[in-house]
Amino acid sequence: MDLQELTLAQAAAAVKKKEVSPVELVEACLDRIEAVNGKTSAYISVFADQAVQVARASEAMMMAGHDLGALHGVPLSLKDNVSLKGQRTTAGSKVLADWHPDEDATVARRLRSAGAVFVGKCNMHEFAWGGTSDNPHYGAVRNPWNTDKFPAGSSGGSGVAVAARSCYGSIGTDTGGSIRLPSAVNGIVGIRPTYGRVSNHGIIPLAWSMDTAGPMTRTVEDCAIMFNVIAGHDHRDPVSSQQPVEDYTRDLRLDLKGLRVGVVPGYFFSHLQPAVHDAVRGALKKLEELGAVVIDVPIANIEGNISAQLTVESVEPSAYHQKWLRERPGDYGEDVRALLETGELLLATHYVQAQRYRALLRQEFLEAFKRVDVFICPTLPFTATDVGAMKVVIENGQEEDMLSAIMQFTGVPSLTGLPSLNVPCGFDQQGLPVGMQIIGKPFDERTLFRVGAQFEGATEFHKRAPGI
Amino acid sequence: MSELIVTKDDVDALARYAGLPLSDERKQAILPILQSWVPAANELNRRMAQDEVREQLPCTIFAFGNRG
Repeated sequence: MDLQELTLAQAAAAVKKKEVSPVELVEACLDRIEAVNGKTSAYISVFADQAVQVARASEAMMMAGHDLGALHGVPLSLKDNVSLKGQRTTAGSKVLADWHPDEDATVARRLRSAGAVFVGKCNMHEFAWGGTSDNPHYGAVRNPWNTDKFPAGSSGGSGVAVAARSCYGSIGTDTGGSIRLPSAVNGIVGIRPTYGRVSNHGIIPLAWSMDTAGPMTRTVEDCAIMFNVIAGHDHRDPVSSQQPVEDYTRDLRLDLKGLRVGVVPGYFFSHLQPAVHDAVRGALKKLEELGAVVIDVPIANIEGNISAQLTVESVEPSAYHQKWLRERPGDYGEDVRALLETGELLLATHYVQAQRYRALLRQEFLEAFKRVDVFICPTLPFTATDVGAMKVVIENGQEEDMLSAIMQFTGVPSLTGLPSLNVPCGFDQQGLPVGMQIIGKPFDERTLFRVGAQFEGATEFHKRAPGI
Repeated sequence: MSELIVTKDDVDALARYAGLPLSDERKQAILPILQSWVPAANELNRRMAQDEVREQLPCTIFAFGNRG
């Protein structure tokens, strides 16, 4: 049995059948981290001794008949802005370089309760404020498909850790696209939940009104299994929803006959690199073959979403960081420092009009969801760029600012609070992954997993592994 | 309407209003960001000031008994 090639679902099942020990799984992951982390900088902290100790206890419990849950003995990682009791939690920053939280984040506690074993904490864009994971304090994270390329971000370390087979799943956080972007660029699956579906308690915030946390995995089934564990109300998070949870794996095998897929004409397939255009168009065709119906659905005010996103995502962090920015400005990396300074100088009316725009855009999407079950678009308009690049060329040889360009499609769910799932849907000519984004109704993550799983089952993209 | 071009003097004034000490080097670093973002934000301001969206409330993060 090649332990590194097992999916999370297969690894969990093998532990329950006592075909494989949690110790073997953890040691396989630690070996893999040892082999590749020097090339990718995906991890900030690795819990080698502790993970083996926990795995031994996990093995003993399973052998004694104590099954802790869906993730018993499964090695996972966490983005380093997710608190883990007693473990250094840096958020990729120098400001929090020595911070050791005194309790687990709710997502970590739930995963631990379901039997997960944490092997380490993942590198990220500093304080999650950026999309490249080019971290000045812990090293630039590098893409396992080509280590000269970036992994996107901000959950870049989590994306690389999963794609490189050094853990069976990871928790990322997503404010403007930070789960979906690295999922797309690293060829894995990742979900941004409905705002309020997964607790943010114990996670260092970026922008309160858009922050979410979610799983990043190699398959849709794996993602749904982790989502089952972490979704649900948490009284310690003031914006946590009381909406009842569902079994998110329930519809994975339900076909797509009659499913209505919306496309926003003039926006979803414009301003793209050709390989991205072709891959996502090909995915829509595949979904039609599977029985779905693709419908053009205009959204009157979709233009303007990038500006609103930049305004909200800069002003809210600047409020959170106001004290540190005055007391320890030199402890921030150059790009994040500049963004935090910029966020202090936008006007209150810019912020409030952006918040009014968000409400307008949300109403337009909720109205559109009377006609369709999901929307589908690219996750980002380009494939992985070079590590360190601040500009990107999408079309006509014209260089564009990376931050604005990378949010072209992920900003819509972030602003509206809608859930969205990235699923691999192709590769460009250099062999770099392309992802598509499936956007759903509030709290309808189950349909996203259904569409993703049916597409995945009909394609081979998720079966390719990076050559690192 | 001719579009505003943000200048270093504007950055200086805004930083003073915000109580944010910025060296000339820092002002120079954020000037191009503001030059890119502020015109787009002003464009969104103009749109959101139109009569047809006058009643539009801003989104908030209060979630009373959310069953959404």
